[in-house]
Amino acid sequence: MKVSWNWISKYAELEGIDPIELSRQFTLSVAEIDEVYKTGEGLDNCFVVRVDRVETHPGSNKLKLATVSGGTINRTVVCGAPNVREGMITVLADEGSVVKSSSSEPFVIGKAVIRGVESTGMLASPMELGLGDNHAGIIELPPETETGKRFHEVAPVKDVIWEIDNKSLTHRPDLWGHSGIAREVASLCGRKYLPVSPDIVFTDDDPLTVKNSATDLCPRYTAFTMSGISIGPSPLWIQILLYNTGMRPINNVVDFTNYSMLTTGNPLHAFDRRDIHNSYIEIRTAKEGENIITLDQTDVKLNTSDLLITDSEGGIALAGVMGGLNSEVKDDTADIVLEAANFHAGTIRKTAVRAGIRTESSARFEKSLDPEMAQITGYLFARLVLDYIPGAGVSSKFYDEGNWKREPVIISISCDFIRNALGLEIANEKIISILTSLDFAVSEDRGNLIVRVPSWRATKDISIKEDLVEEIGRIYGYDNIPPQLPSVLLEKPWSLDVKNLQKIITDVMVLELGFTEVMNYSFDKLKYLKALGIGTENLLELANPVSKEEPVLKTDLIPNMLGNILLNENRCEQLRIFEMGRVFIQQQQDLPKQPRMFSFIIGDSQIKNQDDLFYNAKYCIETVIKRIERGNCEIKPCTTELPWIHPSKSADIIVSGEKTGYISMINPVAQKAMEIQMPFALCSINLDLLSSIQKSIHQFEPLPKFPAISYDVTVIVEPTVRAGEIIEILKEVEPELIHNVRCVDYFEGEKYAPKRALSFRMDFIHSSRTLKQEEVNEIHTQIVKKLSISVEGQVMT
Amino acid sequence: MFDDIQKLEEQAVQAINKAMDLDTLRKIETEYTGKKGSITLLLKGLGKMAPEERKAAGMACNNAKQAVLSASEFRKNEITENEIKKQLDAPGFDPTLPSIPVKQMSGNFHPVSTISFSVEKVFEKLGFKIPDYFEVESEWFNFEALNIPGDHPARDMQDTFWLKNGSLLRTHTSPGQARAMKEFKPPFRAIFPGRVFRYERTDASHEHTFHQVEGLMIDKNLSVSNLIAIMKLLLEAIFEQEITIRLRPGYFPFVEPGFELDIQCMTCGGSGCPVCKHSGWVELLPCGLVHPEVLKAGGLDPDEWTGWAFGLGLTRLAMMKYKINHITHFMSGDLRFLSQFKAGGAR
Repeated sequence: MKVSWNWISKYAELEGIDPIELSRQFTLSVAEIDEVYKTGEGLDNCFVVRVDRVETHPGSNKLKLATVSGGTINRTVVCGAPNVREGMITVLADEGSVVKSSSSEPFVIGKAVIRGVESTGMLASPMELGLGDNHAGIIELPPETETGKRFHEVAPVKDVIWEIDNKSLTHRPDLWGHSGIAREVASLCGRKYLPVSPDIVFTDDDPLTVKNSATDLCPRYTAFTMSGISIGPSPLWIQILLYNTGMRPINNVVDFTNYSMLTTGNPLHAFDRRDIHNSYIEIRTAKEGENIITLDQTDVKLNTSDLLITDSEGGIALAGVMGGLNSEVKDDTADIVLEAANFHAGTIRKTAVRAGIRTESSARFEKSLDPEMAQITGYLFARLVLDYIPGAGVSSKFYDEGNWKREPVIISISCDFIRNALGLEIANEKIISILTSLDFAVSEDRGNLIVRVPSWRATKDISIKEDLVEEIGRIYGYDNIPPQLPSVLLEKPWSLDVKNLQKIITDVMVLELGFTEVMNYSFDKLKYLKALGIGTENLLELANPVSKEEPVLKTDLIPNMLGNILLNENRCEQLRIFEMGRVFIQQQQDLPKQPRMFSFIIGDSQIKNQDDLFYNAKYCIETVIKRIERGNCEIKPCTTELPWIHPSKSADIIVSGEKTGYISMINPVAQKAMEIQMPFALCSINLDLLSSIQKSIHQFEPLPKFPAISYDVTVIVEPTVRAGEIIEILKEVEPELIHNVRCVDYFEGEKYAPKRALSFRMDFIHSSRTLKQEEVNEIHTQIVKKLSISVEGQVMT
Repeated sequence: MFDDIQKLEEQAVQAINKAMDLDTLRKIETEYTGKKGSITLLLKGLGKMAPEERKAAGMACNNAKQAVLSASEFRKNEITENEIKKQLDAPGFDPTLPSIPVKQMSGNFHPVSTISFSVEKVFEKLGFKIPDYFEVESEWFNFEALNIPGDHPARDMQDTFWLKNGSLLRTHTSPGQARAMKEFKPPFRAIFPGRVFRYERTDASHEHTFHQVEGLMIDKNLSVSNLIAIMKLLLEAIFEQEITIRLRPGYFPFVEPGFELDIQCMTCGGSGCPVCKHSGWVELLPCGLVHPEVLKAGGLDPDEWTGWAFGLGLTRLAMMKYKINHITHFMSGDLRFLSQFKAGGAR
């Protein structure tokens, strides 16, 4: 919202205050000012002059020579404006003036020779004076304007405009007009506030019937008629103020409604009296199937929650949003009905949003305006008409329908409460003076305050003690509150469960294993689901998805990560990515299950043996499980079925006996369907499950007192015999003596086909003595026998 | 002539159906339909024939060529499917074989994680709990409990992702406020970082999914003065330099008084530049004292307990810290972006 300093100054005594300096304080105490700028700069050398004579230019039939006078000025200038005529009062932009050109670039006026005639200064158009886009002719001032004065002395062209961020005014219905801003400014500066208080005498010459049938949605509807109006331009000073605050001057009646609105914040609407059938006005909700054509010629289909202003025939205005085309003020309008009303904020907002018509009016009614303002604003309008339209008069009663009167909001609060909440030593007197400066009525009894909230702050803004704390804090200045860290009691440190697990895993994945962390959207893409053959029946559907392509919440991290491979595979040979995050599983209760998952993918487009990627992935997950101290990590046959899991090259991850996830080569069917070229393996772990597994701290093993004998054995077996099986068998041969059994190598090839050879290494350790060679031989014999019996293994010698 | 064509076609199809791998298939295809393939040569030879005969023979040749190509295509699919089937059935695959260490490579933290970790570290040291709350929330926790009434604009369709079952994707981390009040016994202090969602079109500075961290402290007699001190401490720890902050009135239904916190522009030091739109200040985060209605929703007595809360945009902070100009990079999964961030560590 644009705010004019000249306009504010009408409602507060602000002489000597620098509006640019003050704008910073306003931002800190009231609402954010986005931009501050001056208008009318460069117009110091513009003078009000009278055109005494107009002659034709000797060298051109389009140009004229105008002789103008005013004060010490008496000269002839070249003028091309069609409207220049003898006797008119206009503005001479003398040498040194900076005016706007039609490209809105500044232009410095000097001496010029135009078609052989020397001319100093020029007669200026409204556009050149920065007053709108009218460049059809020179500006015409009212005949009574005193000549010889500087233009800015007779018209408020020199101004400072504050552009306030509308968002920071959403909770301040009182600040949508200049008088409300003036009240805040006066309070900030410790100056006097001058409230809007016009006085109007009403008659009963032109009776209306005003019926408010929707007092819930229209707490207050006031109206009166005025007659003897002649439509014409409004006074220049009003046009200038409107223009500088972002409104286009239209005609006196429209300008006066806008001027009144921008003064108090309460929108008004003027109807052509002739179009109000049967002098009947009713405020009601729309009927099913009803419609109205608004001023901007939109045909708005209404529903029964929309509020409509009607006459005996039907809608004449979409309440609080826009007037109806059927009753607009026209060039020949002589009598009007003026509406100054108060509407329910939510209703106006919903109608405006649904109809797609956002107006200055709806923007204000949406903020919950003070019903008191309706009357003051109506009166202000009437005053303008009476003052500036000769022959016009008020011709009816002041109709005032509704049940808007409310008990005043009274808050009792202690000064200690305010001091405690702000953390500030502030005297009782200061608190009271701040509240009083904002027109709160305060009575005090030993630091306990009874505060009456003014009506314009009581609609939604201020209702509780804490609201008053804000008033004191902001006017006193938050910058003046000394920062003080709170004192707290020491307490037991909090264990971070899953969060802590996530942090360790993240560090291991990035710092140790060389993975990059990715974050993907929480939605699944239909394209991927289809390629993977996943139906959407059991997925959580969005009512308003971001796109038709992503209508559901994801149940797994993997599909979007497959998308990550597609995006990156052509740009890198090796790809290692991981993600941690919630997935969403529908269940009976209203909130879905939202387990936290950890998945990673390891791919390599240059790898010779693709299956190596599986063992790389296995290495990664084993490393992770070791780092988080959740016991041993076993690899068991895969029991998980998902489209991307390879039916035979996959395994479950068992941590301390609990299944927590899986590891797999990509299923070639899924890979083909996703059109991914790069070979890769993947792994997925449920972090919630993992964190529920008790921490198992590795216990120190005493260092062996007697030398360990390292022993290798290579066995040829059927390919279906698992290395893991053999390890278990080997451990069982002499559990007391055999330690650290691990598979160290395997061989395939013609030499063994179709069988393969597996090599194992282990340590033979006796706790109380050195093993003898015969004992070692004996164990060896047992191993050979055991392997032969249990897996038909043939030990190589 | 027509017999020749017929015979060639039969031969080709037979050979194709016998092919066992894609290489052989490709060779057969070239043999018949390549530049010097036998069907191609026949076609080339048509020039010598009488015009009326030429047309019919040409058609026959082309038909034969098509038949060979489609047989080849069909066989190609069969072979691929067979290969996949073979791949799917790998009885010899032994997952218990020893794992293979990965080669050294440089990893990367997501920039939002790095920022989040640095915020978490500061608060952990100050004894804040760091719970992690749901992303799919109930209307009650996301709105009602935060004193956001039913007709508030924030509850419109245009800002919130709704699920068909009536729940929603949390629009801020603030629903954690009531959850934390219900979970912990006061006094307590906690921060809860996480992803949040807004139903809006994405562009350089708007994204429907981004990250925030909420801070909440509940105790007796907490004040605006405490909040200012905590915020300054936090921001100086994150930016690793002295920071000047200021509070302005800001309206949020769940705090009273509510503030917008600005920091003095770090690019120009407050003298004005394009980053701060020449104001010298950058709007950073909303904060305030917890509204009594929110305390009630969390099951606390507002006459006994007070609180302060803030909501900090982690994504935005990352954009400021690393001068990232396009918000959609964060969720893009593009490694050219993600691999630029080497610094950091979760712990």
